Amino acid sequence: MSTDAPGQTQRQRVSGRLGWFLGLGAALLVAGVVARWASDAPDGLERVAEDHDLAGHAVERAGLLTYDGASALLGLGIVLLLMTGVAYVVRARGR
Amino acid sequence: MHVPDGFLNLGTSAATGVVATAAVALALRGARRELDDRTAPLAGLVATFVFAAQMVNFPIAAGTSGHLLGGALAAVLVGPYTATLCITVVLLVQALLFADGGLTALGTNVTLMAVVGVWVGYAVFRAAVRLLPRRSGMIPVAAGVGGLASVPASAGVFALLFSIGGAAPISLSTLLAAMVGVHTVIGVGEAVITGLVVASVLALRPDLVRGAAGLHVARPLEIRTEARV
Repeated sequence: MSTDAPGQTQRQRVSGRLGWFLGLGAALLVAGVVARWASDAPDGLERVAEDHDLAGHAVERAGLLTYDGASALLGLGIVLLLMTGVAYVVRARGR
Repeated sequence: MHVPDGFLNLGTSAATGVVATAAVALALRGARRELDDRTAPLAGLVATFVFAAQMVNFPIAAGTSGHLLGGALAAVLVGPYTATLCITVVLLVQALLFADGGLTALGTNVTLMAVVGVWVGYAVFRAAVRLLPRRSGMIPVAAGVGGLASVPASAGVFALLFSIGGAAPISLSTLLAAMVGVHTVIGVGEAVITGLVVASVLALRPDLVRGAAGLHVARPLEIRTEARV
């Protein structure tokens, strides 16, 4: 899986750092812009639960954060830090 | 498809909690072989992108919406063990901070989306890669097929769990048909998003798409001794 093995023609059109920022930019674009057009309709499970009188059994609770504005960004940052941290710890143990 | 608290009884929730814990423990071991200095940052990005994408519910028919589950997408990009960890982190943050998915249902949601979604998605992706022509252009298609299969698979397992320990009596066949039906339509959206994202990453950094390893490197250097005019 090395990138510079002889005979391989793996192309890197963008460098590692630029690629990382492009990926983060895509996530921010989705969370910050595309999410404005998100549907408010119940999702598949909620729809099935409503149709079959199961929805009343759901125990609702309030979250610390909501999926709007700054809290959505905070959630994004927490996921990024948490998973990147887990990945580096797992990688370090694997050596 | 985030299961709230109250849908499944405590016994069933405890059982899925055990399954989820065992799966995450296995994923932590398996991911060692998938993660290196290049792919560790990508794993963080994949989890972040899936978290962002899950905020965007797309409309399907009749006042119903769906969103990306992301299991197949993550598995194709970073490998299935790491993908299990990525989706688990997303579900953990959603349940603890956003009250999206229940707390006693966390094991159920990890089982449905980080285990069934990821591994069914990955298995179907691998099968599709074998059946389709061996070209890198087929990788996004195969990833989409994996995504398409992963959503009704998760939905079907939820129906099974509900028939074992659900809060209300409903026949398995009724619930299975309803869940798999709706989620097959949502799976089409999953397929499109999965295919587009995998195609984008392949275009920019083919070396980072784990599911395409060995496909786009198959052209050996040839030695040309005569100049061609």
